[in-house]
Amino acid sequence: MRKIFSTLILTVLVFSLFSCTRKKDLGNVLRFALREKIRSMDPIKSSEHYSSVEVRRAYEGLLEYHYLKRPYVLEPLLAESMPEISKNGLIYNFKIRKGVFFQDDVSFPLGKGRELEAEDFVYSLKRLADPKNVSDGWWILDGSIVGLNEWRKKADYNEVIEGLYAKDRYTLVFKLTQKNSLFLHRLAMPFACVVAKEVVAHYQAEFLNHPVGTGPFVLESYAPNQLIWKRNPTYRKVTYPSEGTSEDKKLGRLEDAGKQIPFVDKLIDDLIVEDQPAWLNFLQGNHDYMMKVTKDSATTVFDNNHNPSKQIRDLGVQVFEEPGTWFSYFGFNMEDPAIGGDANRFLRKAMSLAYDEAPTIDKFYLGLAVKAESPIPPGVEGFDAKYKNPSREYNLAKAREILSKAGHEGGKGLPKLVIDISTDSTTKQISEYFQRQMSELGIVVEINSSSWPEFINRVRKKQVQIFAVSWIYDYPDAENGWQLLYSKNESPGSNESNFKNAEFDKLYSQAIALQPSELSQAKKRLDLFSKMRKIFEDEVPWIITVYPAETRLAHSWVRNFKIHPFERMTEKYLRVDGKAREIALKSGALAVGK
Amino acid sequence: MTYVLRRLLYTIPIVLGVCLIIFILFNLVGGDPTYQMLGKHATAAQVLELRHELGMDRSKFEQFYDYLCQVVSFDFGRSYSTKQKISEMIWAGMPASFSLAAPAFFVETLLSIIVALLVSFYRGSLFDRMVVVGCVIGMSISSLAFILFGQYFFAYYLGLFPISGYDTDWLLRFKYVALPALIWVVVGLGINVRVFRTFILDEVSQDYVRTARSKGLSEASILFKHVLKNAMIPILTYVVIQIPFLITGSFLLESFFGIPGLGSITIDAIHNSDFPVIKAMTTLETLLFIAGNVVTDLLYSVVDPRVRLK
Repeated sequence: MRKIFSTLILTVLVFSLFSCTRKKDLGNVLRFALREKIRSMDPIKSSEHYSSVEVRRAYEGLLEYHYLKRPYVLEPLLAESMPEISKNGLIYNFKIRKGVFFQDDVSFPLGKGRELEAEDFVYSLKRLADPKNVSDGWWILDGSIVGLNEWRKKADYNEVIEGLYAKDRYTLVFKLTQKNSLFLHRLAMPFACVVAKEVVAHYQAEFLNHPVGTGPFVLESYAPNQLIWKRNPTYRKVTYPSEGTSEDKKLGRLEDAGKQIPFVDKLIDDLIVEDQPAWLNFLQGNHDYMMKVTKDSATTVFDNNHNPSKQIRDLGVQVFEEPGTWFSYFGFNMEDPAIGGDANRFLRKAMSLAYDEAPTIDKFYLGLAVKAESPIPPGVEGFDAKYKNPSREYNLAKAREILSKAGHEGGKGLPKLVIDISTDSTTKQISEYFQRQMSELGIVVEINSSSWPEFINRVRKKQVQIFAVSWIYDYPDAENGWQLLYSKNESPGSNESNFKNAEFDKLYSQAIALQPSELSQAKKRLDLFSKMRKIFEDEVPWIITVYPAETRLAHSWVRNFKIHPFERMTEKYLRVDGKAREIALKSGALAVGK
Repeated sequence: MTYVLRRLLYTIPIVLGVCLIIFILFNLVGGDPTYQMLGKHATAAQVLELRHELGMDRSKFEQFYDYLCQVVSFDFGRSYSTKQKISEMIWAGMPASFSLAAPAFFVETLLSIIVALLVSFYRGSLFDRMVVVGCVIGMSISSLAFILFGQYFFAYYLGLFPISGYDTDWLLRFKYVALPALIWVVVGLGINVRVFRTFILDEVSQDYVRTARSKGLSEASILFKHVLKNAMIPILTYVVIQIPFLITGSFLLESFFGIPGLGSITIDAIHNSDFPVIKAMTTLETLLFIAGNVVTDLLYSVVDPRVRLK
């Protein structure tokens, strides 16, 4: 018995010995929580948010978004300047920056990264197109470049493509199949980042875990629960932007103008999937900023008036909020006989009028969302703050009237409808609210809840009637919202409602051929979008509900923080005020939950 | 020896049956992972390309044969989502899971036996009743509640432990697994004490205990010298069968404390419909369970010589 007790006491002592908390790393390091496991650090497989963030630490493309300017502006990154575009708008000539080197890696002779060439882009984009690689980013080039879709049949990398070639060592040429106003936005996406052939050949299947690009950070270590990046010692001279908005000036975001970036020596990304540890690590100062304010933490961050709470202000935490470039909606499967097609237009309209999203904004989004009227959210060019969608006003009397005109007074003759949702608690609560709202019209709605993969399967296989989803914009162009209703994108594509309207398609095709950068064309483009919006109002393929806001938190010692929903590489602009951090951490306010 | 061989042979149809069930679950009943893998801009042509790439367009018989080969060679290919070799993921995750589970399991078992002995010694007393009530309360509270409270109070509020994280260094990792291990112990204590108490009380009513009492032996001597020895047989059976699962870790604890063990690998795989990983983990669990059963049967005869293998 004595032996047992001794062993027990010894075990407890060993635990106590190791259980003291770690001293915080006060170096020039930025630390944050990754909320999802990184699937890949191969640019062509970077569709998940956090994967694309990690990809952009090491890799770069031809273009990027200006960090501070609003509305969002594209600017050259590895391109020397913006491309020369031929008069017919079909040929794009990019001059590649000279003296850019890949990061040092064992894949290169003597381990020294070689200079970037135009041919590297040709190779990288061929990889993106290669069907063997099954990239989830192929859509950015699909049908856009002359000869590229044909090239996919053999995918012979030695074959020259008419619309994608290197004219000389530093000139890259694209020939487009048709005018495409989105082409440059798509080239700024992480999918189009440049990789070196030697590195792909060296690592083969493991390439996705060995990022070697031209970017500002080099991967130092990669453990399943942590990625550590260090400053790229061979990174070219890149400076902090000197232009921004008046708010940037006011908040001191232009004080570092002209200084060489990146500012920090190291980035540490801890994988923390659960909300509570991510939030507590931030509060304790272990993490410098938070990419997501969860529903649970929002009650601590904001007071009842949706202003930063006293606790948050006392801790000196900076709260950033921007209109989100995404929206939520209930989609109707337009191929379903009970809810789709022209015959059920009035039913859909009645349902749309009977849905009041206002209580959901307070209850489920904690006030951090605004009512949505169209697929163009605030922050995207073409958003009209004055526009009110007549099908989205909350008017129960009108809804009942329309329903009875359609011959379904009080839901008479209507079958039970089914709404498909994924199994997260907020979506479930919102769907139950939807169910109650529809019962006001006498419409019976049943909820079918399934796991995300199962839900996506059902939607993509057109097995649903009504479904609850959100759309996050890929780039700041209204087209990215409207393409959700383009017939060629029907399921399994992004048009999950399977909406088909010949007039809408015609307007869409005309709009994407116009360049928003040219004033006359931009106006015409907006007119076309307005006409598409009218069709959207009349046909009611969705009940569009809210534009949730983007909210981020950063500690007082983090400088230059700004939300950018489209640019994945923002850490190169961030600076840590080491002294401020030391004082804050020493004060003890952050160390424990006081 | 014949018994051991026969026992091992019996496992073959069991493994085959389980493999068939797993295959049916993931290849016939389960969803198609291609839609999720291709993201929000998938095309019908790409879905076909990916299904071909993953071998999903082959006959079900061929796919089942491949799966059996994977089980035999323990090479489950690569993860759909991370493209890492699954065998490497498992080898990399095992030490982390084991670092958490082994000390926690050891302390939990030891503590449970001690408490069970004490309450048996004082059976029927207020102390016994209080412990039993405490055990029932502990068993009724969700382990998630223990995790959330423990992490908030001990790690954040009191600052006694790191909130989450892990270190590959063998010594340093213990400061990260200390709190989850303590929570493991607390969560497991309730059920274990109750089970072990029952085992011990079963022994207490045996004839040899009455004989010992009539010979004038003290209660403590009877309990700790004679009863414990005999109660160890069911306790050992109960404990040994759990040992294989220590490698697969605890899903919730690993997920909340950022421990990159097999539990968190499985949770990620479920979230991402990463069927090869889920299949590998399910198969691993099954094989470990079967192995645990065989070992328990064999150990039983070692611990209790009265038990003869037939």
